[in-house]
Amino acid sequence: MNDFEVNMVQIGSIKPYETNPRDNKKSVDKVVDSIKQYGWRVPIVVDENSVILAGHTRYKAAQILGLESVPVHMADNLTDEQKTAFRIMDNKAQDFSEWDKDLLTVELKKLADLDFDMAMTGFSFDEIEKLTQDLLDFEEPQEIITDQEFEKLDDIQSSNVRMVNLFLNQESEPYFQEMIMALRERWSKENLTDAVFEAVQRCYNDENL
Amino acid sequence: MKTYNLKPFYSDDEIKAREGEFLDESDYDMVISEDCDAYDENGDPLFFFRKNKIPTELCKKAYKVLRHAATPTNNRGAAGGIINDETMQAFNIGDVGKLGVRAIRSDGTLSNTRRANTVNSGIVGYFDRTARFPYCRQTAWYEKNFQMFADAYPYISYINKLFKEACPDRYEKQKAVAEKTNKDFIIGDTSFTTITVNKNFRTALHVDANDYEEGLGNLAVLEAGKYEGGYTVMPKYRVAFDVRSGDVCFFNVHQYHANTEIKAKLAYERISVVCYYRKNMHKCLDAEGELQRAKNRTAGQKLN
Repeated sequence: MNDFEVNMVQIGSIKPYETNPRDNKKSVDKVVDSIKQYGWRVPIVVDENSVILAGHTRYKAAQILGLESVPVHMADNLTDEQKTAFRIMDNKAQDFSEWDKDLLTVELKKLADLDFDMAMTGFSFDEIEKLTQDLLDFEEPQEIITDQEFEKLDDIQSSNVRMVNLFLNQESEPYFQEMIMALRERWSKENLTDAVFEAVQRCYNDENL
Repeated sequence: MKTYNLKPFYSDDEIKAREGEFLDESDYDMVISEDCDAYDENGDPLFFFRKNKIPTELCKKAYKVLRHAATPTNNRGAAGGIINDETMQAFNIGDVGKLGVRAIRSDGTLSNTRRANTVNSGIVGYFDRTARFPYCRQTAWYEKNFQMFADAYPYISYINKLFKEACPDRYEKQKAVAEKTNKDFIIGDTSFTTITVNKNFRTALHVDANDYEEGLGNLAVLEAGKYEGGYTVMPKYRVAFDVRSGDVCFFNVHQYHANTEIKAKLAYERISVVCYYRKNMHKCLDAEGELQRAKNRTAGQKLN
């Protein structure tokens, strides 16, 4: 393995790769936050001509942050083919990683319990909310109140109201209306309720249908 | 227990002009989180807050049931807030208002239904006659989940009990009209016909409609996970209340009110439960009578 040397260099001295195939617009803000919160932890990788091989997002984040110098590792022993392949591989390799959602949930909960700013994990609240749904449980008040009389209460009476809803769409509703009008006429039923009941009753009683 | 006699900071018109807006900490000076009674400038009840009074076991059971009652809907009007881009994109819009839009139907005509922003809300219990359903009826959720609702009933019944204790005058009036209403349309032995259930719904500035004016509205909350905020603010009086699991606040829902932002780090559920008597329910016939109305429905028939 080669020596891994990292030096602080002037940001103006490194150049983005002109035909970088990775669109990183959406992740720049996250990396800005990360550098602000955690500092530089991963250097930008450049070739011997100071053209970026890996770290375009970090480069853009550094520009937004107005940094004059950035940590850089120069990979000066790659062929042109290797450089091109490495640019792709460095990004593509992430596609093969997956989150272990159970372990991730544990880590997120750990941070929440410490009142940490969850946005600094890079996850949106909607994503965190979905991931931690299984943790949901009724939050008991500090002081538990009891009333045994009501805890045994089970006397709600069933209403006499009975309804059945039919859910139809724009295609089925006019067809349903057409059929029901025909059946109402055939069976001399004055309304939809009686016609539907008659239809169901006839089907139920006639196994040949 | 404290009693407050609150004076308004703004006129009704000033507050009404803000309908549909979301409120924040700049809209209140005081957060209520302990037992207290409050009256307005005319000596009428403004709110009665009762802290941690509902038995925990009842809350727990009710939470498991009622959390399923709130589903995405577009029918909460001003409470859903000023129309946002998501709503604008969801429909083929033909008419845009501040608080609602009307879509263009497939035949090119304008829909009669005004749609608001999507929120998680549901209705449990009974509903009076409307233009769309010109007969008194069960709500769809209640009809499908009546057996499950039985587990939440003791919680609702306990709110009714606390209502009676906290504001007996208003309770007696509401109970009296409930007694005159056909039992087929009253929830158990309570003074309520209907329950609105919201989930993680930060309401914008609104007033409740269609509840019995002589009674009093109420707000109870069931919570899972941890969150902060979600205060209910009455901006006219610059007061807010922090209703949590086990608490209930009886208040004048005809005064404009809204919630502050709800902040959480992980998944949470804030289920707000509003039990009330719908003011036209006393006009309902019994179940058989309403069935006949539904069967014999004719165009242009008067609702009540």
